[in-house]
Amino acid sequence: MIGDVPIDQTILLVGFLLALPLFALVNLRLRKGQRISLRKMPGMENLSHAIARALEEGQKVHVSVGTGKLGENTTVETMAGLTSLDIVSARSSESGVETMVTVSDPTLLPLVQDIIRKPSNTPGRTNPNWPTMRNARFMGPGAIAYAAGTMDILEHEPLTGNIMVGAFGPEFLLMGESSAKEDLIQVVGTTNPQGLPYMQLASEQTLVGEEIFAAGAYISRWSTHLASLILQDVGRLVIVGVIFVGVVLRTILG
Amino acid sequence: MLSFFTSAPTIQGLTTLFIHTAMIIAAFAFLLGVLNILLVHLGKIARREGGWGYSLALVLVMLAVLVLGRPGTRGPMEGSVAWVLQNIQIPLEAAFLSLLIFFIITASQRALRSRPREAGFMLFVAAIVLLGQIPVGEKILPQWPAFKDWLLAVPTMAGIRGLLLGVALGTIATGLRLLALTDRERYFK
Repeated sequence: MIGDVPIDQTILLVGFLLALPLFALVNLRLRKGQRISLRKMPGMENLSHAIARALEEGQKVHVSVGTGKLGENTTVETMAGLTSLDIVSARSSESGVETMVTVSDPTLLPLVQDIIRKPSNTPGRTNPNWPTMRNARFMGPGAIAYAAGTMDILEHEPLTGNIMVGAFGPEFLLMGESSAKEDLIQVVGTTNPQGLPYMQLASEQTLVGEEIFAAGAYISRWSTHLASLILQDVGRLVIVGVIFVGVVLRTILG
Repeated sequence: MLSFFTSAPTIQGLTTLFIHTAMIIAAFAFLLGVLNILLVHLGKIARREGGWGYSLALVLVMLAVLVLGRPGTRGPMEGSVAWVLQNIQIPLEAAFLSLLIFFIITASQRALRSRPREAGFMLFVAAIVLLGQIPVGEKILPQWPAFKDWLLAVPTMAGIRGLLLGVALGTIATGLRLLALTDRERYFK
C-alpha cells in the first residue's frame, strides 16, 4: 500500500504515466513524417486484400464488431471491431458499395451509424449508407440471439464480404458457417481463446489475438495506431526479457 | 479512472454520478435498439419480403413480453416474464447452441479439403484430447489421460499464455490511445 492505494494499482499508474509521454513522442515523430517498416502480418494483408476483393464484386459488405459490449471487459475488442468497421466503411463508400453492420449492444448502434454515414472522401461520390436504419442493426443482447439474427442476414442479404472482428465465443461458428455456405469473402478475428479454434476452422483468414488491434496501423497507417503498435512491441520485448531473466534466476537459485 | 487510484469522497461521488449517467444512456440506447428491431421487421412485414412470417412472429413475441413486463409490474422479475425466459428463451438458446456439433463437422470437412495440413493437425490433437476425456482412451492406452492432461497443461497453456500476453499489451496500447483522446475525431466526427 502506498497511502490508501494498493501496490499493484500504483504500478499501473506509474506504467501509464511512463507510457503516455512515450506514446506522445512516437506519435509526434510519426506525424512529422518519420517512416517505419512494419513486420509482416499475413492476417492483416489478407484483411486488406479481402476488403478490396469484396468491393470489386460490388455488393454489400457485412461487418460485425462482435458480441462484446462497451463498458465491460470486451470494450477493447469492440473498439478493434469499430476500427475495422471504420476502414471497411471508408473504402466501401469510396467504391459506392454499402456497408451493413450488426451489433449486439444497443449502445453501439448510434456509434456505428455515425461511422458508416461519414461522407465519402471521393469528390462527386455520395455515401451509399444513408439512411442507415437497415444498414446498422441491433440483433439482440445475447450472443446466441445475435448469432441467430446474423445468420439470417448472412444467408438472405445480397452480400459479397463478411468481416467479423471483435469479441466472439463458440457462437461464431454458427455465423462463420453460414457465411462459408454462401461463399462470402470472409475475414475474422478475436482475442478469445474459446472462439479462435472455431474461427480457424471456418475461415482461412483469421486475425489471431492481438492482430485485431493492428488494422488501423497496417491498413490505414494512422499515426496514433502506429505509435501504439510500436509501444506494444516495446512492451513485448520488456516482457520477454523479464520472463527470460526470471527463468534464468529460477534455474540458478532454485 | 481516478477512482481506481484514490478513495477521495469527491472523486467517488463524481464516479457514481458518471456511472448513473452511463446507466441512463444505456437504458435509452436499449430503447433505440428495440425501435431498430421493430422498424426493420415492421418494414419487412409491410413489404411482404421473404421470411416476413418470422418477422411477424418476432414482433408479436416481443410485444407480448413487453406487455407482460409493463410498468407497474416487477419487470424482468415478474413471474410471467421469468417463466418465458426460463421455459422458452433458455431452452431455445440451448437447442440452438447444440447445433454447433453439426457445424463443427461441416467446417472440419471444408477445412480438411482447403488446408489439409493445419486442419488435420488441429483435428488430430482435438481427437487425442477427446479420447483422453472418455473411458475408452484409458482402455486403449493407460497413459492416455495423463498425456491429455500434459497436452492441456503444458503446450496448450503456453500457447494461450502467449496469446493472452499479446492481447494484454494490445489492450493497454488501445486504452492508452483512447485515454489520450487521439481516436476521438475518428469516432465522434
